[in-house]
Amino acid sequence: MGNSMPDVNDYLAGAILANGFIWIWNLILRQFRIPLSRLPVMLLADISLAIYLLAGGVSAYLVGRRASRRHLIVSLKVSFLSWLLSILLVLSMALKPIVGSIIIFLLCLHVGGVAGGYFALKRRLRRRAENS
Amino acid sequence: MVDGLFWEDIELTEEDEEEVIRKTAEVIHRFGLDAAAILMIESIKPLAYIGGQIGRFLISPFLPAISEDLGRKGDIFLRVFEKRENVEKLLKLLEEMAGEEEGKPLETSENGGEEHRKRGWRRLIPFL
Repeated sequence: MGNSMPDVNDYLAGAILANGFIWIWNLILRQFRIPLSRLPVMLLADISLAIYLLAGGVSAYLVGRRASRRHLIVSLKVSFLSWLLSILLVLSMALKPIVGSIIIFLLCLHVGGVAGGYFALKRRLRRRAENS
Repeated sequence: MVDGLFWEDIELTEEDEEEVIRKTAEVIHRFGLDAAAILMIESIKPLAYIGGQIGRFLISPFLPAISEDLGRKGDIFLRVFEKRENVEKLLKLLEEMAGEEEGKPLETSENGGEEHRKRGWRRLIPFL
């Protein structure tokens, strides 16, 4: 276990992973827009929120696994970096800046990030109990 | 343990501080919030002194209005946890308690399978 903390590469990898989820979902929405247009808009919005939460959670969990302490700070750093990258992603994909998307990314990535950090800490505590 | 209501009168020994830390850790552990508390306390530990001072200014004066005992206990609590070394002790104690809980043998469920012991609010959520 030691006293390890993630480095810049880990944070960047986490941010890129989170944006990978978002990017793939955006591609799916664009590619399958005709069959998906039959679905209710609210359902698609809910699925989008779940995917953004998952993106934040998975990236924060994986980076948090590399930390031995301060999991919340680590996961919030990953979430914030993911959010900054997601702004670039939205700006590059949309014709005009979408403030709603940016706010949703901010909320979902950070909530997912806190959950990811929590599960990473739980895993570390379980591992420590198993080793002792 | 202590005499007097106001902070000028309270003198806390190391044993008193240990007792407050242990009681706090037990309450957190009883509600199954060890991991959540570690997550939060680790992050806000550098602000322990500032938080203690803000608590003394904004919360402490109003606690005796609810009850005299609560006022005294609240003041003791704020005094103890505005010291960073006491926050460290609480963290260590919580990690030990959480580790003991995780290391406990699995309970047998009604279906015959084995599952982790669930406490507090976790009983309400099936996948935790």
